[in-house]
Amino acid sequence: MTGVEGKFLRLAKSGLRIENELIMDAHTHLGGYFNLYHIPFGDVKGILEQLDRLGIDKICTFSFAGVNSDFTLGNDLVAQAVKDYPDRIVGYTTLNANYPEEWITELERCREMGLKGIKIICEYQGTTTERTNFSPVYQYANDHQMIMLNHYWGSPNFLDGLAEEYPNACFIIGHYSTQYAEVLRKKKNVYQCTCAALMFGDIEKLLRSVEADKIVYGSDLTDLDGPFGLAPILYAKTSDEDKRKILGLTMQRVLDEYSC
Amino acid sequence: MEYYGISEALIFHAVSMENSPQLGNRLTLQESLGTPSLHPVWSLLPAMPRETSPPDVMIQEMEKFNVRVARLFPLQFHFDLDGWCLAEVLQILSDHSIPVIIDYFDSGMPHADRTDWRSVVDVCQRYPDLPVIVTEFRFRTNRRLYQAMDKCPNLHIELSALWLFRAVESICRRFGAERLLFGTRLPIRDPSCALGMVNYAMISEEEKAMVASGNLRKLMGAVHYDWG
Repeated sequence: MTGVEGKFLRLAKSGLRIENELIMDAHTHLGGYFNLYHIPFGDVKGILEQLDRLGIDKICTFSFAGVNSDFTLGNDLVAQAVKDYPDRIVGYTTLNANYPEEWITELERCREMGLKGIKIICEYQGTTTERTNFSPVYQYANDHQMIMLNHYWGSPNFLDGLAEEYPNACFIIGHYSTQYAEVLRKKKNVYQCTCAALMFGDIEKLLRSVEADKIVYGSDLTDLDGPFGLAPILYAKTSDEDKRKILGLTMQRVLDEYSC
Repeated sequence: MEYYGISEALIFHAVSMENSPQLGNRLTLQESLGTPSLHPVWSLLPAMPRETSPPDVMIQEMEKFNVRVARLFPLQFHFDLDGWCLAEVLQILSDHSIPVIIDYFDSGMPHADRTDWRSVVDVCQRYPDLPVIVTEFRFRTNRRLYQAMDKCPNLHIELSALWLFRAVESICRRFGAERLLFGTRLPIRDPSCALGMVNYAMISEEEKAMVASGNLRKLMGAVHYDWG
């Protein structure tokens, strides 16, 4: 479990592209604009340039515009990117917690456009997941075996209940946390994203409580920089086999099982 | 540091940031003594009788121990960068070209962006010969950051707080690689985040070397402790 002589660590130290591995980023943003900051190189071309530099094969993505202003506009942008780069981009539909009457219509519209997952981010929409009755969305995901990635799922008990009630849906915990370890161990359909694992030893800490086949790599690009999220995995003091699962194999298995 | 391939570091003791710069500076020296790869950084407060030494004595102490970088924690120790509060300290740092890291970390709100850009720009413009380095928990408000860098050639950014998409390349292209300094905030943050941003940035190897160490060495090398 040292990782000291491993392939991924050697590549990271030299800044070399990852070759001959399946690398999938499970948590990214698309759209190029956001109220909080200017995003240089934030268009699809700029994203692909970085993916190619790092050796990332595929990203799961959702829009900035859907986070807090116009989810239809945002979802259209994602659908266009999927259409343009079907081998590189897996699109998710972003929903706004404040417009429940539009959820299912939008999910249907986006599914027809090829979007395969659902993104929830209530904290940027003035509420929380636990306060929002997303039952129709959970049921839709369950009926269509879809992935849902949430910025924050609330308490472990709440997530545990959802995973139990909707066993055909997949629940991805969108940001790094260790509080869901027990749920992850118990529930087959719950996965942990590494997004923003930035404190010292975060990846090793997570691996002490959760197996690598329940962990997916996510960077949060183009909010955060791609290497900012990738490097903690490449440098982690664990085996290359664990890293391989986190970096792509686990997410590929999730997509094979759940993406519509 | 060895595992991550980091050969040298500026260090300060946690006490310098959270309790007492005077006490913390002594502890920083103890920790770095006999370890050439660790360079002590002095935490400073506004000059105030009965709490601090006069500014010229502070600088003489820094010279005595070959300390070549100062650090200010305005939020931790609740002081302002305005002239009425910090002019004497900033003037003497500027006179000796001592780089000053302004650290907006706030242990009461560790996840917030608290950089006071108005004050940073004011300091940079009042002391154009003073190398100013800014860091904090996270820059999520880079419009102010970019404007400040545009207005202040003596403003530098330390990487442990710079997380945004392709930010290293963006700053290198707009303002030059000499404006960025590698930093990790080890052992609080994972150093791989900043390492990855430099190693994988789409900039030249020469620019990477500048960010990784060259810029800081140059700033530290320009410090002059001549007393005229």
